[in-house]
Amino acid sequence: MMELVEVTKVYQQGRRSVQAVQGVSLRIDTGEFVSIMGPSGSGKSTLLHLLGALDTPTSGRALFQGQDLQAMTDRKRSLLRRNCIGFVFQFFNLLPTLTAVENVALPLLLGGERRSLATKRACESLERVGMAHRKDHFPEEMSGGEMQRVAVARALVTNPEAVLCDEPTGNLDSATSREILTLLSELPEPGKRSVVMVTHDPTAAQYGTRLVRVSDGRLDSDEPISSHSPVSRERLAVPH
Amino acid sequence: MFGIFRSLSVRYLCQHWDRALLIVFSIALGVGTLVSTRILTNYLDAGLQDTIAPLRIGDFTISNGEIGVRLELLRELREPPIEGIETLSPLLLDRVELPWLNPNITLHSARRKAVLIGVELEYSDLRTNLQGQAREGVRWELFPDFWKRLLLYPTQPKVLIGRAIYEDMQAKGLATDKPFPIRFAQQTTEVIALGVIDIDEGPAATLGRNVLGIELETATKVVGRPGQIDRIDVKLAPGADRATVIAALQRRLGNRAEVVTPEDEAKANDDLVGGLKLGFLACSFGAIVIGLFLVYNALSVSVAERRHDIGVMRSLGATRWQIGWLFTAEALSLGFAGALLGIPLGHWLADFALNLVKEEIQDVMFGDLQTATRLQGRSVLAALAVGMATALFAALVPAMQAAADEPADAVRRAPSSAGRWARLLHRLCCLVLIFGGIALVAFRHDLPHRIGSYGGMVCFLTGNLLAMPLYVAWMARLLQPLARNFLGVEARLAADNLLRSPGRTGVVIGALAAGVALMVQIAGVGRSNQEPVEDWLERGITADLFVLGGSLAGSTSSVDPMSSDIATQLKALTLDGNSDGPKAVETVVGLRFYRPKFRETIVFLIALDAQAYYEATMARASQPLAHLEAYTRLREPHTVLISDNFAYKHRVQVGDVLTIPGRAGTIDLKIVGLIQDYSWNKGTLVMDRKEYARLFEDDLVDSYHVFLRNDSHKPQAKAIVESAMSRQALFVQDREALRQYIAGVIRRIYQLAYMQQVIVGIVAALGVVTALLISVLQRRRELGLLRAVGATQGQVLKSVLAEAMLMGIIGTILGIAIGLPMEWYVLRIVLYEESGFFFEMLIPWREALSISLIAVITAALAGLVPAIHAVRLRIAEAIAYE
Ligand SMILES: Nc1ncnc2c1ncn2[C@@H]1O[C@H](COP(=O)(O)OP(=O)(O)OP(=O)(O)O)[C@@H](O)[C@H]1O
Ligand SMILES: [Mg+2]
Repeated sequence: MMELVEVTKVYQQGRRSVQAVQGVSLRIDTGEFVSIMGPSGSGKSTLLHLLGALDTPTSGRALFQGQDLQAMTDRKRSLLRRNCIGFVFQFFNLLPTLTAVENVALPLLLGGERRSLATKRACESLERVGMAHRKDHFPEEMSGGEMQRVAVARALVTNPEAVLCDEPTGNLDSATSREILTLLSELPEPGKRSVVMVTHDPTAAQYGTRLVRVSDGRLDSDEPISSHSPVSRERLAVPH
Repeated sequence: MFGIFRSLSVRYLCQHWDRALLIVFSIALGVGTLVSTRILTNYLDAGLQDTIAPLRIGDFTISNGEIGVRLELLRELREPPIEGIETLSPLLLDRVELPWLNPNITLHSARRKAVLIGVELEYSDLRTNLQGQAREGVRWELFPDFWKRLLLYPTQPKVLIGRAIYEDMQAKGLATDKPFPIRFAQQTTEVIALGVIDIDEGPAATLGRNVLGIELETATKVVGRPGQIDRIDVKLAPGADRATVIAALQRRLGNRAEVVTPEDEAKANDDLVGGLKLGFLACSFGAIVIGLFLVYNALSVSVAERRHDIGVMRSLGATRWQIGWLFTAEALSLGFAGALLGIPLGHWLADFALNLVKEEIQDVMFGDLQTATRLQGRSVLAALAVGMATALFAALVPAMQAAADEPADAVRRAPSSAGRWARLLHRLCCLVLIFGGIALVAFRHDLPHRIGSYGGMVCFLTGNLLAMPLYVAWMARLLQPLARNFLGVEARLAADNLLRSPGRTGVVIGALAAGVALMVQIAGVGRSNQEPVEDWLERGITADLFVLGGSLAGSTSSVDPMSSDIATQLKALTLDGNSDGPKAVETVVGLRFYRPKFRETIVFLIALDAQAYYEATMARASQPLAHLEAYTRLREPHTVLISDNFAYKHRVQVGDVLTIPGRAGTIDLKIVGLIQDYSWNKGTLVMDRKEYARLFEDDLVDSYHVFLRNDSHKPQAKAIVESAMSRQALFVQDREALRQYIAGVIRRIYQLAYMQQVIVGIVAALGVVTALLISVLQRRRELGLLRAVGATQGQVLKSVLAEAMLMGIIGTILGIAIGLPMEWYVLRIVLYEESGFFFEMLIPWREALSISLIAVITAALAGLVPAIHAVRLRIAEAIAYE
C-alpha cells in the first residue's frame, strides 16, 4: 500500500548537494510493522518523510495506496496526512498551548469535524493508550512517556492506514520504551493498517515484523524478523 | 574583538537581513519624525520672527508691536543721548507692489511685490564711495552714473534696488535709469534707482534679494503715514549694563512705546505657538518611543536566538564584557544605519508637510523661508546621536541579559532567571508613569504653564503604552474562550499564540492602539470644532464679495492694506455706469486687523464699520448670531467688544477697561459686550473702524466685505465690482471661493496632523510584520507539526492572518478606548485652557469606524508577509531536530 520506486532525494546546500537517499525501492503492505535501522545520517528520516508525504522525491516515484504523491497538489497531500497517515516523532509531538485531548483532536478539528464529536473520538483514542485520566493536562505537565502516548493517540484518532514513527522511543527509558513499543506493535492489521518505525535501538527493532537496514542512502538488507529470534517480543514485553 | 563581531554579528545580520532591515527602518522612521518636526519647528520660529520682528538688528527694540512708533521719538531718544546705547536704528518695513513689473494684471494672477525697507541712509557716504558694505551682510553698489540721476530727477525719492529686482528689470528690458512707480495702498510714487543692494547673510537674508532700500523719512511718505515708523532697534555700547539701559530707556519712553527684548519676543512666540510645538514634540517623542520598543523587541529576539551561541562562546572563554560589547556594537551599527536613513526621510517628510501649508505661510510673511527648511550640521549630528542612542538603549536590556547568562544555562537552554526582576520593574514603571501623569494633570494649576496639562498627558500615555503587554494579556485571555468556542481551529491557535507571548505582541498592539487613539482623537476634536466654527462663519460672514489687497491667505493679516477710499468708490458704482443710476452695491464694510499685545499675549483686534456690519448682517442672515446687537453699542467712543474666549483667557468682563498699545502711547478701551468669535485662539477684540482710525491713527483697510444689491441684477453687479476693482489691481473673491479656501485650510491642517498618524501607523504595521515574523520563526517546529498532522497551506495562512487580525482588533479596541477620553481631554482641558474656546464633545462614529477598518486591514496586510513565510515552510526541515 506504500511504495517507493527507485527513489532519490538530493538536498541542495548552497553549492554542495547531499544525496540523502539513492535509488531506493521499498514496498510496505498492510499488516506489516517495518523497522528501519541504520547509522546516523544514513537517510532513515528522509525515507520516512518520503513515505509519509511530508516531502517529495527528487527522482523516482512515491506511492500511497497506488496514488503518486508527486502528482498530488499540496492540499491533497495535506488531506492524505490528515486522514490516512499518523505520525509519531522523537520530540515535540504536541502543541504546547493545547491540552492532551485538544492535541489528539487536532487532525479532526482541522478536517472541520464538530467540536463535540472530535472531543469524543479523541477521548476514545486516549483511552486506548491509557491516557484518558490526563486528557485535560497540558504537554508541559506530562512526562516524556506520557507525551509519546498522547502522540500515539493522535496518530490513531483518524483511524489511519499508516502510522509512521521516527525514533519514538529515542529519549525514553527502557521500561517506558517497552510500553510504547507494545502499543505500536498492536496497531498493524492485515488489510487495514501498517506501521513503519525508524529506530537506533536493536531491541526496539525486534518489535517489528520486518527489518530494513539503510546505510549511505541505500538499502542494505530487507528481511522478515522471525518470532523465534533470540530477542523475541514475548520476552521483551512487559505484562500489563 | 572585531573578529568575533565579524563572525557572530555580521554573519547573523547577513543571514537575517530582513530583520536587520526592519530594525533599521524602525529607527529611520523615529529619527525621520524627529528631524521633520525639528525642521517644522524651525520654520515656525523663523516665520514668527519674520512676521513679528523681521530684520532685527541690535540687542533689543523699541516698538508698539504691529502698529509702530512716531519718528519724533527717535529724536527725543537721541537728544540728550542715553548712556550705554551705541546706536539707535529706526526701521520701516512694508510690502509694496511693483506695477511696472506686472503689466498684464488679471483678477487672480499673483503680483510682483517687494519689501520696502526704510532706513537712515547717509548720502554723504554714498557719494564718496561707489560701493561698500553696510552692517549685517548688506552690500550695496552704486551705478556709475548715479550722480547724473541725482541731477536729472531731484524730486523723486531715491532707492537702492535688490539684486533680484534689478535682474528682473533687465530681463524684461526695462530701463533702470528712468523713474519707476511703486504702489502701496493704491498710492503710487515714482522713484529712481541709484544702485543695487545684495543681502546674502544676517537677519535680512530671509527677505531674499527682493527689496527696495529707501531713506527713512521718504519711506514714511511713500507708504502714506509720514513721520511714523515701525520700530527702533537698539544696540548697546560695549560694556554697558543691559538692565540699567532698559530701565533708562523705558523711563524716557513713558507709555509711548515699549522696550522689547528678544526674551520678551520668545515669550510671546511661545505663548502663540508653544502648544503647537509641544504637540509636534510629543508626536516625535511618541514615534521614537514606539521605534525604541520595536527595536528592543527585535534585538531581544535576536539575542534569545543566539543564546546558545553565546553560551558556547562563554564556555570557550569569552568574557561578559566581550559579549556585552558585541551586542552594543551591533545595536550601534544598526542605529547608525537607521539614523543615516532617517535624516533624508525627515527632510522629505518636512518638505511634504510644508508644501501643504506653504501658501498660507508665505503669503503673510515678508521673506522667503527656504533656508529654515534644512537641518544644519549640529542638528544632523544630534539626529545621528538620537538614532544611535535609541538603538543602544533598546539593546541595553538584551545585551545585559546575554552577558549575565551562566554559560551552562545557555548551553542547556534552561530558562533565564533575569525575567522576574525585569517584570517587576516594568510594572513599577507603568504605575509610576500613569499615576504620575494623573497627578501632573490634577495639580496643573500649581505647576508652570503647560507642564501639567501636556506633561501629564505624555506621562499617562507613555505609561499606558508600556503597560500594553499587560492589557494585551488580559484582552487575549478575555477573547480566548470566545475564539475557543465559536471560531475555527485556526483562530483558536492564533489566540493561544497571542496569549503565549504578550510581551512580544503587546508592544506592537500598543503601537497600533496609539495610532488608532491619535486618529480617533484628531477626528473627534476636528468634528467637535468643525460644526460650531462652520456655523459661526455661515451666520457671521454674510457678504457677497470680498475685496482684498492680496490673496485670501493674507486676508486676516495686515500685509497688503488698501486705502479707505475704496469704500466710497464701491458705493458709487452703478449698474449702468451713470453716476445717478441704480447702485450696484448695497453696503460696504471695511475691516482692519491689528495684533496688539495685551498682558504679554498677542491678541487679535478687528476694526470694522460696526453699524453697517450690524445692519447688513441683520438683513441677510436668516438666523443671526446671538450677540449681534452688541455691535450697536460700539457707537460710543473708546468702546470695544470682546470674544467669549478673550473673557475666559484674560478673566475680564463687560464694564472692565482694557489697555493696549497705540502709536503714540497706550489706549484705554471699555468693554461693552461679549460676542462669539473663533478668529484667534488668544482672544479677539472688535471695535468700530472710525474710532480705531481716530485712536490708532491708521485709516487703512485690509479687506472689504461687499453686500451687493440683493435682486435679479446681482450677477451684473458682481461683474461691475470685479472689473472696477481689477482696475485698482485689487482682488475680488466671492463666498464660494472663501468657503473653499477655508475648507482647504482646514483640510491641510488635518492632513498635516494625519501625516504624523500615518507614520505611527507605518511603524505599527512594521511592528506587526516583525512580531509575526518572529512568531513564525520561533514556531517553525509547531507549524511543521501542524502541517504534518494534516493542516493545509490555506489553514496555516489563515492561522497567521487570524493572529494579525486579532492583533489589529485588540489594538483598535484599546485605541478607541484611549482615543475618546483623549479627545475629551484635548477638547476640554488642553484646547480650552490654551484658547478659551468651548466646544461640545462630539463622538466621531463614522471616522472611528473607518479608522478601525483601516487598522484591522493594515494589520492583516502586514500579517501577509509572515503568513507567506509560514506557508513556504518545508515540513521535513521544520520538524527536523536541531
Ligand atoms: N534539510 C536538509 N538539508 C540538507 N541536508 C539534509 C537535510 N535533511 C537531511 N540532510 C542530510 O541528508 C542525510 C540524511 O539525513 P536523515 O535525517 O535522513 O538521516 P537519519 O538517518 O535520519 O539520521 P539520524 O539517525 O541522525 O536521525 C544527512 O547526511 C543529512 O545531513
Ligand atoms: Mg533521523
